[in-house]
Amino acid sequence: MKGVNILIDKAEVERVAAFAKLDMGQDMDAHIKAINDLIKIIDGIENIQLDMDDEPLDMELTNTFREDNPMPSMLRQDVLANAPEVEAGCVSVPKILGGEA
Amino acid sequence: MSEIYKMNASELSRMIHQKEAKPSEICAAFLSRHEAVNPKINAYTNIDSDAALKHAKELDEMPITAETPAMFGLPVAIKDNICTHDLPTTCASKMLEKFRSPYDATVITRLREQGAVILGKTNMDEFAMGSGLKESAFGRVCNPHDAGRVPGGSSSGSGAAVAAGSALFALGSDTGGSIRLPAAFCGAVGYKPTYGAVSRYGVVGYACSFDQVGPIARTVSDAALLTSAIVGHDPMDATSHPSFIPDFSTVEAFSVKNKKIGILKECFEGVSEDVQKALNLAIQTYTSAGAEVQEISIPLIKHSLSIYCIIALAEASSNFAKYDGLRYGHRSDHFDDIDSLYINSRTEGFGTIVKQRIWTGTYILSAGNYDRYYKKARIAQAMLRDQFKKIFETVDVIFTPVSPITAPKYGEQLTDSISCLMDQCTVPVNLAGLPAIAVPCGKDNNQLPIGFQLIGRRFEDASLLGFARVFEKETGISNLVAEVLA
Repeated sequence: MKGVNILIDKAEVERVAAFAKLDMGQDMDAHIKAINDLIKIIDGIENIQLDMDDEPLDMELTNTFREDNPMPSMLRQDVLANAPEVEAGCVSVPKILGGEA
Repeated sequence: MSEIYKMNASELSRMIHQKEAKPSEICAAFLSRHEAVNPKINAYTNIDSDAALKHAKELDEMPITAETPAMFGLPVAIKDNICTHDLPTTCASKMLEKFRSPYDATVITRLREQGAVILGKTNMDEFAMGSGLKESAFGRVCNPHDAGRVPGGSSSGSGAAVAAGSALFALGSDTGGSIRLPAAFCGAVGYKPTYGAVSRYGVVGYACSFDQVGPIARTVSDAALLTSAIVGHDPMDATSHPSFIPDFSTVEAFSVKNKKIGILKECFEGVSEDVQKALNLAIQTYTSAGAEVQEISIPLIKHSLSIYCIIALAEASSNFAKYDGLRYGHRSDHFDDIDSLYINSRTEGFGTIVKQRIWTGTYILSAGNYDRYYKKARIAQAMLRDQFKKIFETVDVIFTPVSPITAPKYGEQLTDSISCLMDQCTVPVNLAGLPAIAVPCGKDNNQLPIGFQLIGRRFEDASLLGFARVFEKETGISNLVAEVLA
């Protein structure tokens, strides 16, 4: 609805935080205030009289391609150098498959 | 030679080429200045003095010929969101505190190929999110002109180091003003090139359709010198322009006679008395030099912050999904499964402002909100670009403040309108992909630097710097190294 400012409450902060893989529980009051300040800014988009219905397709960027030629890549040891945990030449992570859907 | 740190890059380059100075002498001078001032300004996150000096000494042994690049032997400070293989790249965040990039950013590769000395990595707002008003995970950067005041951001360390004399010049990045604001608050020249002019390969992304690397320097000529070393197509960056390379050889002889300067009225609201006085003198300088000045209006400027925040934060939320604690970056010690690993790593690794902006970007792109926010912002962005195009049919360059006020004190509560006006001057440039430059033009009653901004047409970067250079020549205002820390 035009001109309606949405107030973000704790439940909404937690709902969206779940998508963003963040826990906003600590300092929740400060987060609520700051997020509502940001929402106030972005709600300003409602005040613009738009002169077209859809996003423009051309924003002066053209797609780029290169030839499918093999090139030197990175050494495995360099790729793994920043990994928190490495095992058998791979990044080691907790179990992903299995468990509840 | 004891005050090498006060000299500009063009002069030092000349001295190297004429064998009046060695790269190691110049490097040592800046390292010495850094030791003297950094405890007070905290401009750097990482600096390896031994390695920098060792490299400079190797350059001492190389012959100087007619083909030796202008950058040869000159030390450069690098904002800590630009990847360097031999120094950490932390983005001033706990998330990347221990990150060592396996490769150099293209801009770094090009600097090294031309014999530049990488002095160190400069402090910044965490992940480039901010205007230098708050502390990063690596502590606060202090304005060299007044240590109780902010330096501007997010390239806060780059601006402070150049102004304090602990860097000859520096690379920053600009997504919504992050080169121009610290330049203005610290009394330096800060130039954001046309989007696509400089490769973003190896530059940690915030909002990729806005991010652009550029120089913070003592003079316009130094800004041109550093930019020339890094500009040009990069096949590793799909947004890198295929052919654009600005010809800065035209800058020195540029004339503003009969050129048209547009004074953008929407950017002059809330400007403080001191800043307005300095801007008026700058405008007068241009009219005395033969330019024609007229007031212009771009109505969508008033809404530019809304448009910018929607697009930038949406892009940021997508960019920051890569920080998952799996392959690099902070991984929490506390997790039961993959989901809690993600959540705890990200929650522990990101600071407050970053979390809030990721949240907002996620909200913008979530179901039901895409049409309400992102789609509208993209339409409005296209409209703003059209308004700029139309204006540039009537003027050659646009004149605005960089900020309505000079550097505020740390902890000072700015009104909402002042905060908004600060961004309103700078973010439209990124929305439209235009080049812009912040030029120092005086000081206020507290001796704090004031800067004005010029905005040019896309791909007319050389003309833009030409305009800026005319101001320097007419007034002699440049190379404002802060003496307060001497």
